[in-house]
Amino acid sequence: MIAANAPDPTLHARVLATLRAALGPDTQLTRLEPLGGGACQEIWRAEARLADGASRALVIRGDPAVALPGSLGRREEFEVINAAVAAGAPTPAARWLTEGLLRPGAWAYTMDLWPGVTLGAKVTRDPSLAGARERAPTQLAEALAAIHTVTPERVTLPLPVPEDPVAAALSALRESMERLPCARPAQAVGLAWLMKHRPPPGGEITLVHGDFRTGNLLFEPEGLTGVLDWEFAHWGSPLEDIGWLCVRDWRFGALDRAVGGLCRRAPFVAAYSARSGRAVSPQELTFWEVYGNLRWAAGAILQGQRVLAGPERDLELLAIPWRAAELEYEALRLIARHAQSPTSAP
Amino acid sequence: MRPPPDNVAVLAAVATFLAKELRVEDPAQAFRVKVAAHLLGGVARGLKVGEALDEQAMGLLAMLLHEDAPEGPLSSDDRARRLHDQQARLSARVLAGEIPPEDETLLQGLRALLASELALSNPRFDLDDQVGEL
Repeated sequence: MIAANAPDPTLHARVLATLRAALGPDTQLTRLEPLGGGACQEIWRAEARLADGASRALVIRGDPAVALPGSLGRREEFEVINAAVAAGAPTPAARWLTEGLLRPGAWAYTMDLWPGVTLGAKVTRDPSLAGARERAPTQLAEALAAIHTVTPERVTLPLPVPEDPVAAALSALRESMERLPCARPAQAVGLAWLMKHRPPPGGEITLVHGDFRTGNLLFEPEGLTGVLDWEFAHWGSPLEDIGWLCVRDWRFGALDRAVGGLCRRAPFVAAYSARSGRAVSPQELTFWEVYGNLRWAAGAILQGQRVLAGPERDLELLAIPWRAAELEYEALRLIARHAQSPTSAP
Repeated sequence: MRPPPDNVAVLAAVATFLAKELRVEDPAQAFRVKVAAHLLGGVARGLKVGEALDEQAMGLLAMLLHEDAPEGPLSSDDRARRLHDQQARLSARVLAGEIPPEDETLLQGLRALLASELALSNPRFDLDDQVGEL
């Protein structure tokens, strides 16, 4: 197995051949380097000079050596992204799906590198993005509403269609919890509460981005310009994306702005309801927020397990498991709050 | 026995150096230095008060499980084993429906347990009930 960033003498030639096949025989590859933040992906940044002298900034995403549980391979992700693009979601199109581009047997695709900022601390606090945060309720709602127009009835995707999206979400959560190195009573309380308060079966099924949150959203001063990282996309309840965006860990210190540290819940939920035609009750919002906080609490501990068990020695991954208590605390806060006042929004 | 500084003092000093004094140009490296300082700070706090917090956690879990606290002081391995076991049993009881998830004592006890864990891993975590409201 070749490690993600080990020098590979023929990589340059393979990427150049792919770019020439796609962009013309006179294309030059002027830059090729691993992109930061590739803790769980093989991601490369490339720059191509075209025959007319124009340059084009690109990102190549390949299958990682070890995939995260529940994450899509690049072949499936390629189809998901292009379905989202066709539905009007702001996201760079995936192009030139190729096998063996980065590693033998691994699939990879290429996309344009869009300008903008994703870093949570900047997105939530940088003064130059104040206007973007003002427009966030509407723009986040529009992007999500577009993604959620993709349904199994309209679009065929290589993803399993659950019979009951809530049951599927709860069983995925239970499976994560069962893989934890130690039982977490707060998570058990959370799961028991979710089972007791679950929305009825037969709910709507749409494409769910699965990781729609600050950090994966691209901003420029004029607003949200792109939605990135589709590896956790699946068919499920559209409200799962709404709850996930409100998970406490995505606020980056901007605690009064519950929606990803960008805006408050009420204007965002109202904008989403208006764009999507979907009512979001306070109970459903609480349900999916509790779910999101627990999903990340379990996921955070499991990410640390990967570092301790595997060849990766990533300091950032090592720091993630300690965050579980923060998310569990928030889940219990939401549950206690719901017990006192069941019909009000979080 | 070595003269002072003890382990806690050394770790705390190194964490402060990394967080407040070291200047690193590359933003990605600078971020990792912050993460390293955060981790060392957590370790230092764990060495200093971890044992007392473990005792407190065992007491809280025993209360929620309606069982007696262990007699006499436990070794650090025994403490870890006991905490592991208490957490597993409480989780199983909750999932079996023996304690309702809205039980006020349960919620308060677990939030206190998490608050002491957070005092180690992230002392700046805001425990206020109104955080993120509206």
